[in-house]
Amino acid sequence: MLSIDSITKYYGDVIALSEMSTSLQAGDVVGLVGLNGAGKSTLLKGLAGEFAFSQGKIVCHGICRDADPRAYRYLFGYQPERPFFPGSFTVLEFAQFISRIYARVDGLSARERNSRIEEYLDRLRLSSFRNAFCHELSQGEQQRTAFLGAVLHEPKVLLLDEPFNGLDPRQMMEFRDMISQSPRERITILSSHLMSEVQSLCNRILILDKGELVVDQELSSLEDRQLVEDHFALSESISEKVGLKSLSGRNR
Amino acid sequence: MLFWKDISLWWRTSTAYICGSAFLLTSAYFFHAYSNSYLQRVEQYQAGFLSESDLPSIRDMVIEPYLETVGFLLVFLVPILLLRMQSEEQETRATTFLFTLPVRTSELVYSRFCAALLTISVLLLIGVLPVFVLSFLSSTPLSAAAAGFIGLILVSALYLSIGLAGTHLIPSPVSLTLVHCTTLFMLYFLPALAYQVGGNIGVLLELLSPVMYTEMLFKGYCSLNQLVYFLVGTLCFLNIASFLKHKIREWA
Repeated sequence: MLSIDSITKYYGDVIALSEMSTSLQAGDVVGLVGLNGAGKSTLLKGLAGEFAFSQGKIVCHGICRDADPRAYRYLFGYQPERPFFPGSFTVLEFAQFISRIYARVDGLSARERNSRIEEYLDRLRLSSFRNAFCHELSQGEQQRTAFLGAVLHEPKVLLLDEPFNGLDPRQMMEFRDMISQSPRERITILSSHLMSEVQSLCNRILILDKGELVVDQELSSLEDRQLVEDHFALSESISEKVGLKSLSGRNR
Repeated sequence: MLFWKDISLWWRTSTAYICGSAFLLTSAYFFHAYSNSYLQRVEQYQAGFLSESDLPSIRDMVIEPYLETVGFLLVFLVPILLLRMQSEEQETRATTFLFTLPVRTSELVYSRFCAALLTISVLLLIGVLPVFVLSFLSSTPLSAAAAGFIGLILVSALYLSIGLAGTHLIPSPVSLTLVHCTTLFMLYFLPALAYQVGGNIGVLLELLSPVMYTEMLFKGYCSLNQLVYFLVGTLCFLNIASFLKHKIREWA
């Protein structure tokens, strides 16, 4: 259960997110769609705890972000648009680093942590790269390693910022499988420019335009494009660019 | 674990070895120069040009000036070390990633401080090793060399904490290095300025200078005043660094 209440983010005088509110339920896989600069990355970074929102309140599983930021951050797994790897770590060292940090909250023993690392290295097909330096991996492998960092502590909410960027079709398919194998109770929010990916993975869609949430709907209820345009006053350009036209066409 | 991340950041780069080698070679050059100068005095004494009372001790002519020179080299070594860490951090955008993990801001600052201090301590230990050997061979009390080594570590800690506080005020690594170097230079030459100014302000300036405290340590005298000065100074700047980083984390 993730409740977002009137969050706003200013960068100086520029408003990146304006009074956004929504509530997500366990099991929701949410597609976050919008043009560049719409506020998608700002929303995900803010939810992940990278910075504080200028105003508004976020409560996840009963934990308020401002009241207990450390416990709040533990609930989230975040894969940034461009993978960041602190230090000069190998894949295994990176996994151990992340795992130890979260162990201070979840209290897993070293044995449990190692077995979980092995499980995820196998599942994400990273075992053969365990001793390779993260910054020397290919983009697809880096994305998988960043995904490993985001899911290793089995977060309640998984935030994926443009996870399909720079991936070839085969890697995209693999990534889609990884996301779809998420536990049922997890909330997953993924931002993407690819409507086909959102359509195949998500049950819900959030459309941002210039920092405002213009659509917050179950994906199934977006079958009638006219309904979307009437109710949410989507501009033609936005609906075309995010692929709503083709979506509605296909669904019909 | 954050500590090892920062250690890996430094020791897995060629810059570390180049800087470390440059520091040790420069130190070795000065040790050689001071030792040679002492040997010349001994030769003069043996040739009868000097009386026994005019022959200075190894402690006065080699150990003390060498430790002072190494202390002066720290004015360059510490900012370069921080420059390397700062640029690496900006390149990998590691901090923004770490902000999304359940770690306290102060942990980020203190782990970096400890990693940098350990790195410098290792270099200092290698650099001061000849002093220990010389003390042992010349039956000079080892406590003098030990006090000098402790003095170098304490002054490094103070210089590092000043630099860490600066990293949150000056984002550009090169500008930070210049400002950091200049500040340390000013601190180093504060006694000279105090002498020029005179009066109560002069006394105050003298009390603020780390050189006044290290001088006594390099002579082999360790007192509570020195420890209090360095510990209070270091903790004060580390807390400023933590406070500034926390503000950046919350309001980026």
